[in-house]
Amino acid sequence: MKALGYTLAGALIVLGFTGLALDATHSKPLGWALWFAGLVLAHDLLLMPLVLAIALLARRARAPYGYALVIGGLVTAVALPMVLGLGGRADNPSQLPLPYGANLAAVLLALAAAATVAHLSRRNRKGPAPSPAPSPAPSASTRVREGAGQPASGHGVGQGEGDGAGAEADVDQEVEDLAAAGGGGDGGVDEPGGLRGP
Amino acid sequence: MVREPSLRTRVAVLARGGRRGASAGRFGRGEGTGRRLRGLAGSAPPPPFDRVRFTSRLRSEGVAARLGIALGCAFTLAFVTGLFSHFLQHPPSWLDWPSRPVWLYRLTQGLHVIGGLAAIPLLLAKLWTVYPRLWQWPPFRSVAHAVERGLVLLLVAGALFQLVTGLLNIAYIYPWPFSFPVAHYWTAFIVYGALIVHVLNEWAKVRRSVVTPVEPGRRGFLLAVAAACGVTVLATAGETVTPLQGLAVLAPRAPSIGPQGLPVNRTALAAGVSPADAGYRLTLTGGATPVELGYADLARLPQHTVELPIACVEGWSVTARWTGVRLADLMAMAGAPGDAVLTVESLETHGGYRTSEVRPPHWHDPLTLLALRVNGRTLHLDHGYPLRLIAPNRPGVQQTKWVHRIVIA
Repeated sequence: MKALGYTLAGALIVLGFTGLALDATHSKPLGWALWFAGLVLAHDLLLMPLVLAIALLARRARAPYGYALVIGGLVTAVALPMVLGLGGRADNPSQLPLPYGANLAAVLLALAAAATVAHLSRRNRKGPAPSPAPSPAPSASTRVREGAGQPASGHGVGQGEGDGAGAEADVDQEVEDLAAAGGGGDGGVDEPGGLRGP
Repeated sequence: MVREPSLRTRVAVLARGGRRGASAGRFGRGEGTGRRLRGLAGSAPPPPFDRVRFTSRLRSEGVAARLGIALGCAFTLAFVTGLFSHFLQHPPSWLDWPSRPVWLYRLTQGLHVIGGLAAIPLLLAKLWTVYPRLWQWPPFRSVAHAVERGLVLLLVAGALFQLVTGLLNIAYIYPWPFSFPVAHYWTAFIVYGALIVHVLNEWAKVRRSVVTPVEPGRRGFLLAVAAACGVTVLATAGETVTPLQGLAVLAPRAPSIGPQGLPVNRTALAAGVSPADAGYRLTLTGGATPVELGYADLARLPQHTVELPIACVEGWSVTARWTGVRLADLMAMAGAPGDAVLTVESLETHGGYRTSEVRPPHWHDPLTLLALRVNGRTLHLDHGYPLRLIAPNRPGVQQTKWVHRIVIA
């Protein structure tokens, strides 16, 4: 069964490369290979470090803003070619007819507004917090632990990393911080102490 | 206990090599993990990037598995709908596809493009989740491991290639030397083959992961990714699901923007077509009776009005009310045999879509027209004045515009 699957998969891969090779006039194998390899390199060596750096900068954000950042970043990635507006023909106004920059800004603002509403309603639910970064209420953590059953593995890992980190770069504590800072039910994936650490 | 022994744990460890091996007990409560840690600590040299750590607790096998399942579904949908479009545009001689249901091509291509857009957040999130594994040390543990990683490279590179070229294509940006349809088509086979291998390799892990609930923080991350997919769909689907057009603020097309409130793919200028003069004739050749009709003759023939979508392979589509002459009526005039295959020719002088083929199921269909009017008005030149083909369940590029000859064979 598994062998059959591998055979089928191998046949598909060979078919793909053969098709590209046989139609070299249209597939331009060298250009294709540059794009095929170039995109993965661009993702792994440019985009991902950029994402990690942004996330690191935003590491202290409250959970709703962290989520909004994740959503906004992903939607921006999709919308970018339309926003840049490099394509389209002058004689065809039905291509890319909308003000994409303004529209994307509106979507991002809506996300920010939603995050603010979520943040405020959360804070109100918990009552006035004396500290700008309240640690998760114990009850919330309890709930988390129950909800997750025995949230296995990940445990301890975060804690372990907290110690002796010293000069090491915590490359992406970030998004996690985003999600967990601010505390509440969503926070503290696996430690009652949340991000405030032991 | 260790139901999720952890991409996460392994990641942390692999990224740091043996340095942390001594504290294995802290991570690995499961034997498997512990063994792996000890093994690494014992045999592997420390990686050169020892000081870089990936510490986000949002990464886990459960997160990767769930994103992977969604991606597998998205790529399967795109593969199937893409093949569907390919075979409609390049049908083998033995396959006459049906003209009904009217909406089938529209639906499949809407799913292909809007589903493909929704796959972009999924893929980026998935790659973020497994990114530390890119730096695993040693990079290859064995020949089998090297082959496995090579196939993962094909999958990642191919998935990025498909989504990026697809996205740029609907944004009308073509910064590459190859033909987009050709490269997108053949690369799909490479990606899907590599995807099958990946699924076979990871199946056991996925099955183990999905029965374990996701911890709340990670669930939040997954929900954020799902929300990004949702926003992407809502902000683009209106280019094909017309009732949602008010929300389609990021779609490359708006269903009501264009000449006569209808988008255009190829303008008359782009096609090199100038307004037809009074000498315009539609000729039907190859039947029992050669027929030649001027524009006024066509307008005097029985007119029919149908509601049909124009559905582009780029994902946008919109229904319009077309008025014109039934193709079947014209074929009766020309004495075409019932099994004839028609070639509809445009006034365009060049381009891959200058002509299109109409097989019996389509030209017998009473909905198939040579239209003179759209939404009650004479066709705009960009919509194919004087005459265009409009048929159900058919790719937009084959709804030939500026028709001047039909060859019956």
